[in-house]
Amino acid sequence: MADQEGIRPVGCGYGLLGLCCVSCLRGPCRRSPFDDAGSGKFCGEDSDWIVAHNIMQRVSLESLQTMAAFQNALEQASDPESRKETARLDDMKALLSPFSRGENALPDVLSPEQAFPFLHSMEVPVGSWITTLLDANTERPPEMRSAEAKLVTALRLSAMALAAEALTRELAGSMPEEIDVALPDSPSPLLLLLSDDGGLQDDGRDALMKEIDTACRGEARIYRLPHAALLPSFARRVFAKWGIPVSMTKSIAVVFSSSMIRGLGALALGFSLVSLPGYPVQGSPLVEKYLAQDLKRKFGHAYLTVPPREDLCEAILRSLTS
Amino acid sequence: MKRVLVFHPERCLMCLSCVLACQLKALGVEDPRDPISGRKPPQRLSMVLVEGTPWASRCRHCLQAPCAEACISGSIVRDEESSAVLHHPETCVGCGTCQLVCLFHALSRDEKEDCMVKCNLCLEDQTPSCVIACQTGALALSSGDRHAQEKKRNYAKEMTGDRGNG
Repeated sequence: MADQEGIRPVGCGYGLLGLCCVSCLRGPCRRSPFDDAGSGKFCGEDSDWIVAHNIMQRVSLESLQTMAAFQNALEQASDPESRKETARLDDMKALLSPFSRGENALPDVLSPEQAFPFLHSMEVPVGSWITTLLDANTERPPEMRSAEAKLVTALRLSAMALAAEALTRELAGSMPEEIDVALPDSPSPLLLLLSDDGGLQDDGRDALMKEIDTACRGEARIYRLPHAALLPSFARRVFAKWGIPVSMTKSIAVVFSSSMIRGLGALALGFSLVSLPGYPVQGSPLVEKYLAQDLKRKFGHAYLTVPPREDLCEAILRSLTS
Repeated sequence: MKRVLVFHPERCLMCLSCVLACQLKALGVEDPRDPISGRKPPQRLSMVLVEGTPWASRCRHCLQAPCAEACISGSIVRDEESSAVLHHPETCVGCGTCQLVCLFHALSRDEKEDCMVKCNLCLEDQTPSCVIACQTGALALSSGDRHAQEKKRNYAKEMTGDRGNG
């Protein structure tokens, strides 16, 4: 049995469920998953809001870090001696302008509507990414206060951050604009195994990857990707080859990362997601339902919640063959 | 062997991890992320603030337990070996008399099972879940009345002004 607990030992129960809130200095508040009286927050927010807000805060912070890395790469690439294409560089710079809300052609090139219908249903940012990030962190009642709106924003920011990571690597010369992967001739489920380099040494992820690889080899074509920045290009390649968005292929990305933008970014691009460690979402039935069921019903892909003692390989196989 | 649950309020951060661990144990769930399908656990341990100081509201396993004396079905008995007041839900009729006489509000009603519930010190486990969950050592398991004796000694010292027996 593929044991997920090798990746993360059980820690704070409230934290694992996403029900620990530190959004003000009167906290931390912990809300009981059993809705006990007296376990509420000082501000009275419910468990759905707390879980979604925690996700949003984490994604915002990680997006900010990604944007900072992108800015550094852009500054270096803007050096007169580097021979980068000026028009593309200007488009990239406009993405980082805090004063631009105007149209920018680059996001549409990176995520064309036909290839990424889910992303476009969430109004993928067409202007500056920095403006989107700042707007997302400005409380705009009442619509931004809902848990679902927060989740949509978190997914949108994650996709944006993944695209920024890809551009950063492109500028550094460590990744081409488009990757060339060999895909089967006709549409079939793909299983992408991704591991970033942020894990602890010998945390069991290599063994787990091998186990998933062996168990699922018969059901899906398996690809091992060294980092999540390749995902947008991979999804574009799927669309170029088969003419359908990746969300219609039952493809799954298994993301081994402690960063949330990588997994949620994969989900926003249209891959079903298995994240290791899993995300702290079980504290909110609404959040869990949105990520695991609503997306599946509307777009065909979803976040796969795998309970800790359930066999991971079986869960992946079930999703590939369902 | 005697089994005593000791609470150190000065170490408690009110994180409520003990409460969650106790609730999950009652449901037979090992990990909070395991599906619980809307079930609600009975309350055997709760944390309250008394004038700003954390306090664990749970059964004190009294030497002369009023709940055991009041129980009409003999479901609450004192186990001398473990020094615990044990509740047997299988014979409990849920009359609630124990709840009325308990000075510490340590008993509650399990509406689903229609019987009372209280802390049985998890005698079946080597260490109770609440103690395992407590990361600051505010809840600790002791095998004797060392803590009580120590408190009595300190109190005696205070009363005698450190003059000792003489």
